[in-house]
Amino acid sequence: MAALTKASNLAFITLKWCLSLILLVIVSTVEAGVNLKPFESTSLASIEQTRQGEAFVMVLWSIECPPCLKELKLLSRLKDANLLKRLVLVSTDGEDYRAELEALIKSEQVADYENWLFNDPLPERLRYNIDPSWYGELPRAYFYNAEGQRYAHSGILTEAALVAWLAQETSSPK
Amino acid sequence: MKNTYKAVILFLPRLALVLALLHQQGAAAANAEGDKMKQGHGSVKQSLLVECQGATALPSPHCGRTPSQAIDKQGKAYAVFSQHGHIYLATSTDQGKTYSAPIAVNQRAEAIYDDGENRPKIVLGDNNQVYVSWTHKTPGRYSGNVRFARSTDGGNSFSAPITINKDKAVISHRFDSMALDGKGRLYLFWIDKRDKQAAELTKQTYLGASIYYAYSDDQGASFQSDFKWVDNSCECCRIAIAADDQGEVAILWRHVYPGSIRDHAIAYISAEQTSITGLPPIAASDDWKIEGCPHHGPDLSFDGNNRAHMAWFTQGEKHKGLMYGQYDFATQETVLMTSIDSRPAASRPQVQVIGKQVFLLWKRFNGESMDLMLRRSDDLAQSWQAEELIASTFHGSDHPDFLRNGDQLFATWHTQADGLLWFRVR
Repeated sequence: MAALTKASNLAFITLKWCLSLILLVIVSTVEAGVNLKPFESTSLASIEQTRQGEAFVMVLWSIECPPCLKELKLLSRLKDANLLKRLVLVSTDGEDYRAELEALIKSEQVADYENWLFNDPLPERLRYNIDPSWYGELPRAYFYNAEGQRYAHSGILTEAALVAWLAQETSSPK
Repeated sequence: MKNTYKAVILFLPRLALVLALLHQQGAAAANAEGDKMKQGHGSVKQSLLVECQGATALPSPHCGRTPSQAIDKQGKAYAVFSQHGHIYLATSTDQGKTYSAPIAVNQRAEAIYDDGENRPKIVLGDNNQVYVSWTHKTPGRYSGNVRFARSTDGGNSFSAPITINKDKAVISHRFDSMALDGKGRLYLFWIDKRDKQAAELTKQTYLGASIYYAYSDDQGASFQSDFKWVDNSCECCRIAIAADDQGEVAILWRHVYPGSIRDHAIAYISAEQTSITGLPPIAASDDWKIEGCPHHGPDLSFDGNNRAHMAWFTQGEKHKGLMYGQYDFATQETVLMTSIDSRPAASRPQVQVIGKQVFLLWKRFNGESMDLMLRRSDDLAQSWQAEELIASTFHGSDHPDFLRNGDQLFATWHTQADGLLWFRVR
């Protein structure tokens, strides 16, 4: 009798374990992989500070912008250690789009880039903080050099331009 | 308060994603479809008004999203807006101070595009007809169908909604625009990606999307549909549509000219001109080359001489920012072109002509708040008054709009903090 209880207890514990494991797998499939940081008024300054002395590109994009998704495909294809280190992706869509963005970032295989998401009830404020001379068109990229100077590019990035920039920034002595 | 609603918004999409994963595709519960629709771009997110908080908040033009309005001959305003997967209609007889209890235009909830460029449309007929169109979001990115319902009793009841586009591929049929011509023909135009998709299947490049249309000669009871208007329109900007003094309908749209130049095109639709072959007439030559997404459509209003008054956004070589100009169909020339506001933080220009007066309305972020701006000309744009500040908000806001009541003119603005506001400007 006691042995039976013990056995069923063991079975129950094993079952519980299996269920937890399954749950864990489900939860981790849902949650893992995308670190999408809220981009707020102070975020640009913090990105610039973290990357002080490094050349990097900040790419702004939106889920509602077909050329942006084309650009994500390019960034996914060109992904190497060098670019991974130097690219910051910022979605202008806002927190309401988080779930959809996380799924998209995963399916487009750009989750291992640094990813941010606009978070302000007045998104124009963030746009203005980033660059008062930006009209809001997408995609938009800011190329920073190691001295912290930057220039802006509107419209889709070409492979040639990105490769050339990378070559220039990684070869020239700083 | 801000944190409370943010927490709810953060939680819901996660829940939706878990559900979506469990259901996989296609099996999502139909009754939840409306609520799963995301909040859009350039429009008011969750309202901050007390009356709009909580699950028991009633639908209203203040709490809902992307309202559009029209006023009938008796001065009664009809507002359509999107909330919880429904398009609702509410009316006002006191210039927006109060609205009637809304009725649902679509009885069954559906996912609806309700961002600034994609909003429900309303057109009023002469005999108590209320025509309403919107875009239903179908599965997949950028996919949608153009939907329509009508009332023949002044908005007390609506027909069951119908899908206007005959092509039922799960692709983009979006950015609907609607107008009545002088003979009572009702037009519906939209942006359509069937030609782009067909080209891609054969590995050919296709610039932008195309514009298709439908029309009804029986007050919206039935439609002739799926006529192609033009190839190579921009894929993400609303289409402006207006009738001139004789009731002829013209449309103004952002086109993709060869070399990816996204300038505007303008043309009448008529028995003689049912589609555009070759390059459409250029409404304004800005020379904006971009492979990108302006998401910023134009506006159009006619004067008594059938001059087309246009307001638009560009970032071309020749002009930048918000522009105004008149298109003369007789000479095919654009005249009196002027910059409304060239500041990057200015957006969403609207234009309205009454008699010799031309009104321009737009919004502009000043570094701290969003301002609603107005400019007026009393001589058909030969000269302009100084710009005027109409209102400001520190929170989210929709595209501003004009609302005409005979010779009266209102600026309307849907804001997160204050709901749907009216400002008398004439």
